Amino acid sequence: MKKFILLLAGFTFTGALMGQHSDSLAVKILPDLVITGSVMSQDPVFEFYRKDNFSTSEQILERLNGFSTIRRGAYGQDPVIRGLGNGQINVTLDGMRMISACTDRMDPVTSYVDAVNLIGIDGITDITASSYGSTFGGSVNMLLQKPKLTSKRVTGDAGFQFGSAAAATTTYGIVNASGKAGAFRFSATHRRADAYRAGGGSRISYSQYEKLQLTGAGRWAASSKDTLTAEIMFDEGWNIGFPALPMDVGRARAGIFAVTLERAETWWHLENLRIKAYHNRIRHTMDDAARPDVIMPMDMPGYTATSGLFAEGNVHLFHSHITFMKAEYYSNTAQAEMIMYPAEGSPMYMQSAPKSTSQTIGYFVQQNLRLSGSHKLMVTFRADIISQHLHKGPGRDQWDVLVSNFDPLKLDIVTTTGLSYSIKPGRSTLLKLQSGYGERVPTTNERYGYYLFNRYDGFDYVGNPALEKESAFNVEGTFSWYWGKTEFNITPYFKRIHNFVSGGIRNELDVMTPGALGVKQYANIPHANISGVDMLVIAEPVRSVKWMNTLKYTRGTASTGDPLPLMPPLKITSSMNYAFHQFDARVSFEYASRQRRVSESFGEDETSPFWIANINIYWRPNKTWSVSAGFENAFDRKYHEHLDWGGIPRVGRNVHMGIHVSY
Amino acid sequence: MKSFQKGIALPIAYIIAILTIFSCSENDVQPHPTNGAIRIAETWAIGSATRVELWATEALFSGYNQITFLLYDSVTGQRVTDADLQLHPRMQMTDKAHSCPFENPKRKTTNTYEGAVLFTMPSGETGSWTLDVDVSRSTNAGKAILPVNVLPKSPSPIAMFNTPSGERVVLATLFFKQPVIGSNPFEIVAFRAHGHDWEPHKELQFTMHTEMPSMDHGSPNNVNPVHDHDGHYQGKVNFTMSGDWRIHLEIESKEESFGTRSFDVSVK
Repeated sequence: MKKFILLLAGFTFTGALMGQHSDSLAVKILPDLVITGSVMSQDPVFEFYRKDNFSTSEQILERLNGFSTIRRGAYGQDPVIRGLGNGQINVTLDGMRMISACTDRMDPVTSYVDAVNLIGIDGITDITASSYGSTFGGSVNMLLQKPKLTSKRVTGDAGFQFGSAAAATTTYGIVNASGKAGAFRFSATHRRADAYRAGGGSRISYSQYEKLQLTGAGRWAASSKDTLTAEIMFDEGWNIGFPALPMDVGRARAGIFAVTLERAETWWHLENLRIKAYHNRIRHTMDDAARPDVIMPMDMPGYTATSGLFAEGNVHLFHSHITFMKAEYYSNTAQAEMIMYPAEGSPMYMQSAPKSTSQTIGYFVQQNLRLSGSHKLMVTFRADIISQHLHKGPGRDQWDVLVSNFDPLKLDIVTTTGLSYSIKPGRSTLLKLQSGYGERVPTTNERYGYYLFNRYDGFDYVGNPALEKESAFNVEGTFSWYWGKTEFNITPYFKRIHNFVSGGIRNELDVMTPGALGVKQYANIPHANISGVDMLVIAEPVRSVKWMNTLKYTRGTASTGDPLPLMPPLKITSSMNYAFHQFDARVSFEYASRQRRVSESFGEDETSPFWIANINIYWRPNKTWSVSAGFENAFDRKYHEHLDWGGIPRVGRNVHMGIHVSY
Repeated sequence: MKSFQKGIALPIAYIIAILTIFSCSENDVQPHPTNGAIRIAETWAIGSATRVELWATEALFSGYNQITFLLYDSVTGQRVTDADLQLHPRMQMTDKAHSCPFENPKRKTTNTYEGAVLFTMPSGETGSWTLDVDVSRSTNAGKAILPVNVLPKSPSPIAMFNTPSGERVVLATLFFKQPVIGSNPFEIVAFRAHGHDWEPHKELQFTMHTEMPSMDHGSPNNVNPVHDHDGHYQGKVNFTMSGDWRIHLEIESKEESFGTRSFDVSVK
């Protein structure tokens, strides 16, 4: 199983991560809350991000192999796995489902969890991704920090960083209070940035943001066998600019609540039983109040509320071969509105995302079979029953305009299956072949979205209640080679997606957004192919020097022969780290090739190749203090990635300095 | 025990008897026919021994008004069910008078008399409206004269024009309830002048499209109104959002085109 785990700095991992997958590390919680088990393996490519708490979740995410982000501004980048995103992938928070409230994807779930509160990000591209939901694209599970039982009664971290390109500040503080029967963790994180300076010196208007996150968590021994964890998170962002969009975010507010019961000993036949109940809600307000010369001032608030419950654990159906099972239910209610204020006349109102409730009941099973010492087989299966229901009201009535005999209820059954076979031909080589079939239900926006303006291609999009579910066959192989401290890893992959959801022009419909080029409606095209390769090379040429290289490439083609939109071109990252006494110095280099394969129907242009270099230095004079400094985009290159909307240039030379204290 | 049963049996029988006597069957329960309506005017139809009440769902306005008459026998006070009503709406101006299109009331099962008047202009300094009602009963007949106040309606739901052949035509748009987001049943009522009177115009054809003037867009899948009965044309109009809309109607008959008339609508 290919899995990227990032450990973030300043935290010695003692949190509980129940073994969700066979090769996850068994972590057991003893009655006295002392957590044993190995420290999770970490992806050395991202060692850099262990150095401090100042990187955002999205900055970390886009460094993962196979991952990219769609960027509409300096905030809230949208995760993409091998060219697939949105409803094609799962994004969960410690297994919790959370649904973005913005119809313009300004608030991917990852934007509501600060990296300060993460143990790691579990990016899954293989067949086990369906443990978080039916998918063929992959999963991102953000692993939350837990209260730690420590010998010191009170411990904590605090830090401050300043970055020159946007006069950006990050300030955070964490307190961990530990007692005999329980522990508590509280954190506060504040991030603020002005409009940033791009490479070459130009200032990118509407790229500012500010946010505050407060968290509290408690962890108790509920009995001699059980551990109870309660978590609360509040996240509020305001004055968030999106230079690639015609609107900004006035306020984005999320509340996340979860209670988890974990059992250390076997219950009935279940090991590592974990039961979690959760609720989260988002209120997101988009407006164009700060934009000049607006033809039609408007507000676009969106709301989502999600509640869920899941239970998971291991059993041994076949002696020592582990079977992991998970059952879950979640329900999400979402609504997005558009209120326009003409210079004369009454305000205008419609529901851009009609009020809807989606309910899912899912079951996942993963069977691991050790055929012999060097042969392993893994089979996964997941089935979900999903209902999407539009509530009575203007949102449903709107659909009577477009569809006669509109049925407000859709019921789908989706399944995902996977087969993985791995063999170790020699002591230093590993070969893994995986194949799978997955399905996903169109999102409520793809089915019921109502004239959602897409700034990228300039079209209003309407949903299509008759959309069929997408399905895909996946095949990938991984060859790994280890020699001393050198590691080579290459994974070519191929996906054939049937009923691929894409926008088709509907000339008979009037545009709703002033200035829009036309109206598109989501439709299934027969198929699309996605292929690519991820590669990793790690070496330690001399002592204290670690050299890490990644390569990722994705190519997407629709059944029409046209390239799929938003496909990242070849990207290579090379990073050299030198550790010397209390110092760490790192030079990293990023290169992306020209993207010529563009989707003209989606309004894409070719993207120029670019390279940038980053330099970072860390100094740890003692166990309490550490200082970081560096140059990002040290040569002040003006560039943007292919997935950046509107070709908005990225941040130019950013000189940053940070100080961190642990106590 | 026996005495207790005897003692309780009598009161129960008494209660059942009382309930039986005073209870009404379901058929007897008649909701008031003017629920939700307001009384516009009332008077006596002199000569017919009838008191006439005029009701409507809202104050009368310049446009197509559905109206309800309740008739009471002046002697018994009971509802009158044997009358025929003939309307004569009249706008009295300083130097002349004119009528307007109307539909004579017909008796409904609720013993109400329901008709309509298409007031072509509001009451005001230029003139005032009077609704004369001829009441003919089996034994006698009389006339009720009801002065009524007709309010201006904004936006106006009516259009009046002369055809190229010189015919006077009046149209009124009609929504059965407040237009809302979604698909709305929509009706046009058309009359043409016939001497000093008006008659339903049954030969019009409409092509409808909608516009949101402040947004420069319309709405799809509208159903053009087609003739249903007595100058009433039924269609459907779609609104994709609330706010101020404009309905454009291209009007023609088999022989002539009458151009486009527009009606503003406020959608809630």
